[in-house]
Formats: sequence, structure tokens, C-alpha cells
Amino acid sequence: MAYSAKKLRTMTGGAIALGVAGMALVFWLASNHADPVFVAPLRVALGLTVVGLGLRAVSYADEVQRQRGQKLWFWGSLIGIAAIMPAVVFLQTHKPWLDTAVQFIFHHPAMPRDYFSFGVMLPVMSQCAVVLVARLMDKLSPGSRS
Amino acid sequence: MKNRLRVLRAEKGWSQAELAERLNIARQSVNAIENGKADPSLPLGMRIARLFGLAVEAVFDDEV
Repeated sequence: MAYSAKKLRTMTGGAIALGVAGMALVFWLASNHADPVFVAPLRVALGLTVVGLGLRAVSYADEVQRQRGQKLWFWGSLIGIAAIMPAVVFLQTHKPWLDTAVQFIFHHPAMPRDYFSFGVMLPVMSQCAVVLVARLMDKLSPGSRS
Repeated sequence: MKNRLRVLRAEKGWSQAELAERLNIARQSVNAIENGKADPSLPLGMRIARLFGLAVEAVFDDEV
């Protein structure tokens, strides 16, 4: 698809806004003891919609933006995984800290599924955080406004 | 890959935004190519060269 700055901005903004609002809603429902059978399809639908919007957004980017985005995601993800490893090893070997971390996030006596969610969430959040920082650094790097 | 895009653009008196509009790419992409942070594909490289009325090798230099 041809490059379109307006459509790229709209789709990216839509994906981020929907992702943040949807995650807040799902988190709120899960924290208020909503039926997991009701929340699970909502999570799947939200995930698919956000990914769909994200892919649509990428189709409106030009080739250089795609090339740079892929590079940032690749290195950001690798660094994100490497950066979270010490915390993962620490939590594996210090169970009271793990219990505290899981209960701090899920606000109730932790269930086995909460530990699983925490385990999945931790590296993904770390990857996303590093990619976000890399994007900001890329935008603020010398020469990016010349 | 080195290129003469900044010089050629200056000769024409175009801003990065103007060049980006002519190539239908983002201004940031023009900037990334000029600074060697990104290499254009062959089709985009040919579009750039054609825009300046030059051969591709007159704009881009792969001998670093």
C-alpha cells in the first residue's frame, strides 16, 4: 500500500489507544473477579484487533520507516530479553519476592494462573519498554531534525 | 552506503519535506537516507536518481 502519513498516524494512534484502554478494562475486570471464561475471549478479541490495526498501520508506512522499525524491534527485543534475565533469575531463586511481585500486580492471593501470566508478561513488557526507549532515542538523535 | 542526496537536494533548493513529498515518503525517511542510517531499496534508489536526472551510481556509492 502507498505511504500515507495521515493514515499511518491514525492507525498507529488507534492501535495504541485501543490497546491501552482495552488492557485497562481487562485488568479491571480480572481484578474484580469477573468470570475468567468471560474475560478470556475479550482478551483474545482485543489482542487480534490491536494486532490487526498495527499491521494495517505498517502497510501505510514507507519502506524506510518499515526497515528502521524492524531494526528497532529486532535489537530492542533482544536487549529487552537480556535486560530482564537478571530479574527473572533473581525471582526464580527468591520465592518470597516472586510472591510479593505477583500479588502486588494481581491484588489478591495469587493463583497459579497469575504466576503464569506474570511469567509471560515480564519479558514481553521488557521488550516493549526497550523498543519504546530505542524509538525515543532514535527520534531525539542528532541530525534527526536537520 | 554513502550518497550525495543532501548535496543534490541543496542544489535544487529543496527542503527535506519537499523532496519527501516528491518521492512520496516521510521527511524522516529522507533524513535517514541522507545520514546513512537507512539504505533505500533499488526501486526507491532509481526513483531518487530519476528525480535528479542522474544514474543511480551518480547518487549512491557502495565503495566505502
